[in-house]
Amino acid sequence: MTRRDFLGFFLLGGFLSLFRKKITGKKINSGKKQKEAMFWRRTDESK
Amino acid sequence: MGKKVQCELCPTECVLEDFQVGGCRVRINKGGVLYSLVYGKPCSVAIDPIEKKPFFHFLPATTAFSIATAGCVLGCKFCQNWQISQAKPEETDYYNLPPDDVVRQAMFYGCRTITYTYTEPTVFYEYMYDTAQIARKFNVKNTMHSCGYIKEKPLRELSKYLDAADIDLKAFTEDFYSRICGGRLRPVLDALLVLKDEGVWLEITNLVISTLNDKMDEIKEMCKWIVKNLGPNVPLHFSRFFPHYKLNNLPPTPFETLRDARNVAMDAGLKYVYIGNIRSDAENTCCPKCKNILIERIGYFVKQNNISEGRCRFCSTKIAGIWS
Repeated sequence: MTRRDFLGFFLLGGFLSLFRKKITGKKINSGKKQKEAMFWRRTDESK
Repeated sequence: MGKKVQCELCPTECVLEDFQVGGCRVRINKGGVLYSLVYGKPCSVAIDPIEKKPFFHFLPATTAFSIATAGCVLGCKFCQNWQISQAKPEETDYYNLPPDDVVRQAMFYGCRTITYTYTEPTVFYEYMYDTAQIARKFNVKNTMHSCGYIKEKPLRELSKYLDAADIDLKAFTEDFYSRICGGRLRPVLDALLVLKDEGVWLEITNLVISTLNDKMDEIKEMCKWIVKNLGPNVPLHFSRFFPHYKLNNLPPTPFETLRDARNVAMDAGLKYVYIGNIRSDAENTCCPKCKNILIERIGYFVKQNNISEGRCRFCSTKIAGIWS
């Protein structure tokens, strides 16, 4: 492998890693709305 | 004032100030509205044999898609899953798995059942309820392994979609529940009665812990209560304790204690009594009439099944359970 080949692969790897971050770097559960619970009451309400 | 809410899911009935989290660690009051912090966020997802739950009279040799989130309504000192049951949701690594995906994955992996287990499913009630509704539509069964510490109204609502429940009856004294679990016995007994009334298939597990709940008089009293109130066909699993969590100082339960407990239970009139967490003949299901082995088990593996259309293959006695 020549220096030129090595540089080519190096740059290609760096370029592809940008896409990888976009694919797998999604934050899990971020921005999800919380689910309102069942079976509760406000204490100022009568049972 | 005015933003306090009271949770009415479990008998603890936490009253929560704004931004306060309940004792279960997974329900929060935000601005006068109670939210679940774990909806669609299971921290444990696995495919298990149904025998592991343990269910011995419910679709033997099938698999259960098992899920749990962080949190629990009790704080048992012997908890075997305390790393997740006593954790806050943010302290666990959880997946993003909404109810429809749970059902989809269960079907993809050929699981006949979805089981809500490992921690206490009551704490992820909304997640369980929505999943169970979808599962029912696709003919996937719903089961839960619970401590039964849940109020009547939510339990009756859930029972509409629940096919089977394994309830941990941890002991038969209020003192044990108070000192060791941080709860009460009475609500658990009430939950068992509700499940029976709703026609949910019921199995009971009792973890026998040396010096704490291994008195044969108490076990006898518990078995008599089960026979009288739930009937003799309810399978009872005596499970072997191993040192865990805050009870690291106690030894594993001797086999002799478990064997004696089983004898007491059978003398009290229970037809199906098993010993778990240790290999023995007491893992097998025997016909209560002809005494032949109906289901031979080695751990969670079913070696042979002699139940045909819910009856003993040898003498045609009807065997209680859900078999197909």
